[in-house]
Formats: sequence, structure tokens, C-alpha cells
Amino acid sequence: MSAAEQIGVVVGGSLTKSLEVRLDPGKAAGLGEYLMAPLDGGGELLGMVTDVLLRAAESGPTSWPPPAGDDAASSLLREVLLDTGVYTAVDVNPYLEVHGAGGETARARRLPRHFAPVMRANQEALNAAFDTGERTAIALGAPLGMSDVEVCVDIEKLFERSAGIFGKSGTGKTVLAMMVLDAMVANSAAAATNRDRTVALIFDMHNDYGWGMKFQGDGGGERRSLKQRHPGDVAVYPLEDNVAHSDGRVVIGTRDIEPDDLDVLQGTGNFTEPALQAAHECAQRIGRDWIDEILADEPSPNAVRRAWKDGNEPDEVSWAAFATRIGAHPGSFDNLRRGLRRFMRSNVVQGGAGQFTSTIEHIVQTLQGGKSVVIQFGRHGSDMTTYMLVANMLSRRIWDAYRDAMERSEGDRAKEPNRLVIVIEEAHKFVDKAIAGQTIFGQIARELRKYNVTLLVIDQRPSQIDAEVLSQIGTKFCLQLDSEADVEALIGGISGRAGLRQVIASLESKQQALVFGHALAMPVVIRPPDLTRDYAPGASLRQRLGAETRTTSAASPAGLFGPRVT
Amino acid sequence: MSDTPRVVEAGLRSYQCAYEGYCESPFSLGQIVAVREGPWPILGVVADAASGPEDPTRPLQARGGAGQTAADVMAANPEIRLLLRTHVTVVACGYVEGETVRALLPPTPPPLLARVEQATTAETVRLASDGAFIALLVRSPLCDDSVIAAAIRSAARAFEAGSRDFTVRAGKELARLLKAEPSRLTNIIRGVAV
Repeated sequence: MSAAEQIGVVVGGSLTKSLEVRLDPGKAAGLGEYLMAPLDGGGELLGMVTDVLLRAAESGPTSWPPPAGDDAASSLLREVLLDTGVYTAVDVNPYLEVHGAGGETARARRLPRHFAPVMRANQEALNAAFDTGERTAIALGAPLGMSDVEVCVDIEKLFERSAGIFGKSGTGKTVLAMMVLDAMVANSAAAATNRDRTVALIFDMHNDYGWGMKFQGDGGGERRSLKQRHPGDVAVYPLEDNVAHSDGRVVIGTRDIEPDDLDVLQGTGNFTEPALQAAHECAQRIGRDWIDEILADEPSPNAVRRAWKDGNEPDEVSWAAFATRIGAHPGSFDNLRRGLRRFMRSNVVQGGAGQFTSTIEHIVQTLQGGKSVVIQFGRHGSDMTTYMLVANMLSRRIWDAYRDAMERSEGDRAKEPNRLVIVIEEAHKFVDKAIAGQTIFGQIARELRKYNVTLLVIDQRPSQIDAEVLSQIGTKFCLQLDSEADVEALIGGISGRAGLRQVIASLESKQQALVFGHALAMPVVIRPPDLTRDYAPGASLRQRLGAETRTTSAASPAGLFGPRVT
Repeated sequence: MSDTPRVVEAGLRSYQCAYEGYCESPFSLGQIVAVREGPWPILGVVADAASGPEDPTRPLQARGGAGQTAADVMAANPEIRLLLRTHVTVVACGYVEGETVRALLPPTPPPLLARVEQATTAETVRLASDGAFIALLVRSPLCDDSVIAAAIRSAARAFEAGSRDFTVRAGKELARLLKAEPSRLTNIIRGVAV
């Protein structure tokens, strides 16, 4: 391993907690930076700075600090005490043992000895740690404080389990998601067959992932989004009509809505649980026209006949009597009708049968044909109920199609459908603790890659997400979070979480993310590349910095991606 | 009369030297001196200097009329000077072995009646550069805070342009030695920064 500048020595620590490194005079290391120290018997320990400590060798200097004046004695005393009586140390979470480029990498099981020199990790060590071998990789960005180094992640590994991007509002979740998806689409486009393409079904709440993205970072304005960057590999399905650059439109007919589709809406407050039970009862008794029937001013003869199958219906039948007859409380039945009327006022749901089934078939064909699909909500994006209804309806049916295709393949990999990543924003509404068991998203997260469908959840309140679902999210991108509950929800159960908590707390409000989990050998704080107007997934950080050619295959100088195994 | 003092009492940790008579400007406090006779040159720091009658049973009378300075009285009474002696106490803080200056106690005391001279700039720099000599001063009961501060000041002068860096380096060594005595450290640093 190439020589690196020493910045301190090991003075204590624990494998299960952290290593304490006393910094040499004049040296500094910040949260999130990687340090390495030689291990007895060969190899280097690689760890991340999780805390910076101001220590005193004895209590004297801190009990009797030197005077603050500028006189010679005071300034000399301060200078004398720095790095002797008082000093700076850093806590380093030990993560990996690396053995140079091409060597083995393993979880840390040993510690360096006392007074072992500690160096800032170099590109060679990070390449060994994040080596993706011959597999394709995305450059995530530069680790904090190491602008000449880049971290790459195996793109297949990233999406073989569900992933999540978490951060409070305005921290750059959408930009980060766009960059990751952009790289995924570009990577898929290079695949030899549709079967090898990973595609995304994106429920685009605020029209960010289709044609253009409203960019709130430096320079503002609009940035090209997925459809504009990859016109042949992305299809856009808006909910509104007359939308430019679209490939179809999603219109839901009342006959397309099944009671199960409404279950997810319980959390929005539009439907109470008894109202949803009434919906199931209505659908069972009335059939596919149940919504059109119960939205009429009065019960139709058909509805009455189906409710009173014994033929003993009263002369005058009100909706209250109908509700009582089917075992629902009239108030709950009213709640159901009010909620359904709200849908009818939007253009998304229309009476009768829409082209929903054919749209679903088209979307499934598009996805399995290797194209990603963006469901663009437009002005409906601000209506959470509509967003959830559409996302749930589409996901359920597309999930069914993938599951059927997977079961038909009977283990023959060549016949399996390609991998699908469903991207949902405000994910906690779908996989809330109360309803995660009932929604398709909870099921997808739990059943993981069994059916080649995974999730990319984008959310600002991870603590609201069902713990079981959250535990199934493989790779997590954590931008700035303020709530302790949210931070704890993300890092609970991870070794060295106390340190990671400090790291998350110190993230800046934009363009800094802690990434950890399945796809990465160890957590990393990154500064993602800038989303400039001419940003392209092929332009890696190193190229922009004009750095030398990389020594490993993790990200080739020719682009963001390494060579692909065919 | 020679103005070079000679060793009159010798120990491993300290020795005393005396001028032939009364010396008005003996070695100064903290000055680094050398005894170059014997098996190895021994370096030390002046910890004290005292002048008085050679026979303690015959104390010096306070002679001199009003308006007379000490020099006037001495000139008027030349016999007095013959009865006085100046003694200097030196704390050993290093010795030279071959080409190496070691900041350690010398293996043997300096020879009696050996001449005590001012250390050269090169000797001082080689003795003091790593600040290790300060440990012997701090441990010596003969060295109080003023002696240590004066020794660092004296050594710093030998470093010329690098005197500030040396002072900080010596201060850090002192801070390590006196980590449990912050008030003493402060006192010494105040003495150094004068």
C-alpha cells in the first residue's frame, strides 16, 4: 500500500465501539473521513471518524486554563499546552481489514496495537474496500474531506434489495434519487438483453423524474430529467391530459377500483376502518359497479335487489337503510361515499371502466421490455390520497404481473422477468406501522427479491415506517435528519451506531449523505457530484478533477461505469 | 586574579565553583556552563551565585561613607576584596561523550579545581535542542521556577532565529513534566516569556 501521511497514533479503543486516535500536532481529521492503521501480521484497518474529541492529559489545564490575553506569556502558555496538556483525538469506528489492491477485504476482527501510526486513507485503500471487481459501478461521490477520492457502489448490488433515500425536506433527496436512477437507466441501456435490464417504476409526485426537474440548488432553473436524458429508455405516463412528451395516460375507471386498493388510504384519514369494511361488503354484494352504484343519489333497484336477496326490501330504501342492511354503520357508509366523491371530483378517476387495464398491460410490457416508467402526477401530486391510490393500484397489479411471470418461469432464469425497482415518495404513508401489513409495498419490502421487484423509498420520516419494512431496506442513503427518532430508526441495530448518529447529526443541510448497508462494505459519508446543467452519468468525479487514471476497475476513466460482464 | 572559577565541591548532580576572590559579574542565573577537564566535559546550569566573606566567622562590615558607591568603598579599602569570595552553584544537566551530548547526569563528578567556563553556542544547542535537559532541572531540589525559566531563556539565545521555536518546544517538554502542576508551569512560562 502506498505511503500516506501520518496524522496520529492509536492510543486506545475497542473493536465493538471505537478506536481512539490521538492526532499529531497540527493535524486534523473531520467526521466521516476514513483513516487507516497497520495491523500486526499485515493488512490495514480501515475506519471512519465518528467523533472529534478535545482531551486533557490532566485536569490542570482545563481547570486552570491559560489567560486569554495577547501578551507574550499568555500566548506562549497556550501554545505550550496545545498538543501536550490538551490535545485533539478522534474516535474511529473500525470497519474493515484491507490487504491492498486485489487483496482480501474482511470485516474488522482485529485492532492495531497501541501507538500504531494512523494515516488518512488513500484511494488505494478505498478501492480495496469498495472494490466492485468486474461489475458495473456507480460513482456516489467523494468521501468527506477527500475530494480527490471517489467511492463507487456496485449497481446490481444496490438494487438487488430495496434501498431508501432519507432526509428532511430540502436536503437533496430528489436530486440524489435522480442521479442514482439516471445511472441505473444508463447502465440498463447498455445491457445486452431486456432480461438484463433493471427498470424503475417511478411514482413522480412533483414532476421531477420525467422531462425536466425544478432545480433548487446553485444556479436554480431546470435540469434535464430521465426522459430527456434517455428518451428511448424511459416512458412517461401522466395523470393529466395533454401533457407533452408522454407515452400514454393513466385514467382510472370506477370499475377498476377494488376495495383492497382503498385499504392503503386509511392512514390518510379520508376513510375510516369501518368505511373500508363497508366498501368490501358493497363490492361483494353489488359487484364491479359498486362505486357507481353507491355514488348515486338513491339506491338503485339493482343495489336494493342485491342487498335484499330474499325479496323483502321495504318500499322506500334510503342509503342509511341500505347500509344497515349490509351490516355497516350509516355514518361509516357516508364516510365511504364522501371519500369516493372526492376522487370523482378529480380527473384521475372517471365513472365506469377506464382504460386502466390496457394501461397496466402497456406499462408492464414497457417495463419488461427494458424501459423505465415514470407515472407523473402533475397537479395531482399535492393530493396525497390520489397519489397513494394510484401508486397502490398500479403497484399491486404490476406486482401481480411480475409474480405471475416469476412463477411461470419455474426457476428458469432466462424466463424470469427483469428486475423492477418501484420508486415511491412519502414512503412512510404507504408502509406506516399501522398499515404496512396491508399494503403491497410492505409485501414487496418483506419478500425482497423473490419476485425480482424491490423498492426505492424516498422519505423524510423513516421513524414512521414499519420497523420490519425498514429492516428489509438493504442500502440506505441518509441525508440530514433532525429528529432523533428518525435517526435511530435508520441506524438501530448497526454496530457502531453511536458514532454513526454523530455523523448523521453533523451532515450539512445539502449535498451530504451517509450511505450504508447491503451494497457497501462500510458506511461512507459522501458529497454527491453537482447536478450541473451538463451533468452526465458518464462524467465521473475524477474526470472532472482532471485526476489520473484509476488503478482499479471500480469506475473506469471512460465513464461512470466499469466494464460489464456479459 | 583569574576570572575563571574553579570547582571546589563536586557531586554527580551538582557542584560548586568559586572565583579566586570577589567577582562582581559572575555567571548569571540559568547560564549554561561547561567543565571541560576530566574524562568527559560536563554541562550544567547555574542555579545560584553568592558572594561573601571567605571566613563566615568574620562578617563583612557595612563600610563606606554617605554618597560612596560600592566601587568607591572597594577602591578605598583594597584589602577587603582579598577576604571575599564568590561561589556559584551549578546543577549538572548533561555531558559530552565523543561527539554526542547526552542530557543525563554525568557518570562521574567534575574534577575538583577544574575550570568552569561558559558553554559554547554549539554545546548549548546540542544540549538543549530536544528539551530533555529540562527534566534534570525540574527534578533538582536546587532549581526553583526562576532557575528553570532563566535556563530556558539562556538556551533560547543560542538558537538565534529559532529561539521562539525552541522556547515552545522546551515549554511543551515542561508541560509534559509538570502536567499535574499547572500553576508551577504557568509561573515558569511567565518567567520564560519575559
